[in-house]
Amino acid sequence: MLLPFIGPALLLNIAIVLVPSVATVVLAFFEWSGLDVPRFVGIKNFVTVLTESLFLRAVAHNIVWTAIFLTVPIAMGLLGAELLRRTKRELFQPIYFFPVILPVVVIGLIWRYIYHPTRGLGKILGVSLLGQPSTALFAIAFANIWAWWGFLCAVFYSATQGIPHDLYEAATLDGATGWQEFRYITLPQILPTLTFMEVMTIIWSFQVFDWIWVTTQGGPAGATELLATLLYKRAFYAYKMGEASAIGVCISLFGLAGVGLYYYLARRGAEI
Amino acid sequence: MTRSFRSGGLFSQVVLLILALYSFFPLYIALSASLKSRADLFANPLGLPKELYFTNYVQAFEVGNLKQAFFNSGLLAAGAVLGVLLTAIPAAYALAKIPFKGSSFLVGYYFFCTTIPAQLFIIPLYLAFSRFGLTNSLFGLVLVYIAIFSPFAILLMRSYFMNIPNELLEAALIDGASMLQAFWRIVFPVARPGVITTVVIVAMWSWNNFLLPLTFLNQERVMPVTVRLGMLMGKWSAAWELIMASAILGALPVALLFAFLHRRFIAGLAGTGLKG
Repeated sequence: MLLPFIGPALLLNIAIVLVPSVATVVLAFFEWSGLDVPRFVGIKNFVTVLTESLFLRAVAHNIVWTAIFLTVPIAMGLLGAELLRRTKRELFQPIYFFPVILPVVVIGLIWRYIYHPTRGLGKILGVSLLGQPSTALFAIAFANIWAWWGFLCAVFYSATQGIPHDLYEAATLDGATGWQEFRYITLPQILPTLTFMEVMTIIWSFQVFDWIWVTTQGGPAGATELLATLLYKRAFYAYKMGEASAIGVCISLFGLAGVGLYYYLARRGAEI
Repeated sequence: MTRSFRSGGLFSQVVLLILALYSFFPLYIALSASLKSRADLFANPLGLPKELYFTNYVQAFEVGNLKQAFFNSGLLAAGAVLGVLLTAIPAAYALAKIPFKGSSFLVGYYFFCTTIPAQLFIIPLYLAFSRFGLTNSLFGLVLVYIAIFSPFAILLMRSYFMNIPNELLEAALIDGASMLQAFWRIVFPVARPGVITTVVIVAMWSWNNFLLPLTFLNQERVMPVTVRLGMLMGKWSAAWELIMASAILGALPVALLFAFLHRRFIAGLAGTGLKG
């Protein structure tokens, strides 16, 4: 009786997500172009990948990306949520959220125009923010933050809706300032949500692909190469399925390691 | 300042307004650029259009061959929505209402699935799909969409199904209603908001997805809007008014959906804290 209910979804999931995910881990120990016969090579792919400067730079870029997204959009989301809670001006929420639902390709095209050195804002700024290695990664992150912070704002605002009103009323009677209300009521009350979003941010930050692909494809001169773009090029341009799989395994491990580190720091009270 | 700040006064509202302008500014740039003539855009990249040049949209649609792309994206979204509903509703119902061994493990597994990156399975999946002739096939990609979007749909709809009192179901079953009748008459009406939320979010994710069609569909006849838009840059490197018009056309279906159902989008995504 149970199988007709859970069977179809589970079967499709096993065939398309679970088995290929396990296959990636296996494939990481083989050399394969996708056409010839796979050859077992032990940990060679991992050695090759981990000693490559391209890979190490991509890891560094992913870490920078993670650091940006753990702080800037989270702070913006908290600010927006706290002000929405105070003013009850909920009509702002869909405005902040709208960029979140747009296709990344569309946002990428818009910001490429904005950053364009001789056409958009770039004309006024006199620089090509996407074209020079020192600013490209930050320019993409800036565009991504624009389309991301509204999501966090909505998540945090929805969490504040569960906070009992009398906490704020008591604080008002005690003459608490706006900052004190946020620091001693809102923040501790939504801490589980905040922690959850920080953990998800780490996982998501190591998966970023679309934002890079629709803006710079990893350029200029590898300045915006992330693990996911490196994997894509390795698999579908260079046909090195084993090395690409090794990168895929690393992306997942970095996500896991990030989460582990986060919990470790949170327990020691070093964060938040 | 402290007083007005605390009481949700002027200062807070000004900050909220600034944030709204920040959210709106890039959209204004794109919209105004898409409505300018090429000469107007070149001379005046940031200001309002001198006259509204709607022909950019017609030209973008025709020259960019967006008609086929829209059709493909529409089919992908419709297929994914239908497939997700057909597979996720029964699964969500079972996980909410039928106690069985491994039920909570399965819930945990589906949550885990929502965090798995496509990069972890895309290589073997691509190799298998190309062997079975499922690349360059809309049907093949719909199968992938169903598989990767259904965990979210199952978790979301399960939370609605769990609110239905067991007594209500039992009463219906005792009255001789079949399982399917009980589901249709009692469960579905209660879960309707969850179902609508699932529909709009799965439609949006299917329409917006880029990495999967980029990998699985590389012939022009099957390309969806997102992949097509990604290729336009090289084609029209200087015609920014056409690029912006195509970008806006490509976002229009999800933008319209959001205009009517933004509550469902926000509840479904922000309420769960998952982005899929």
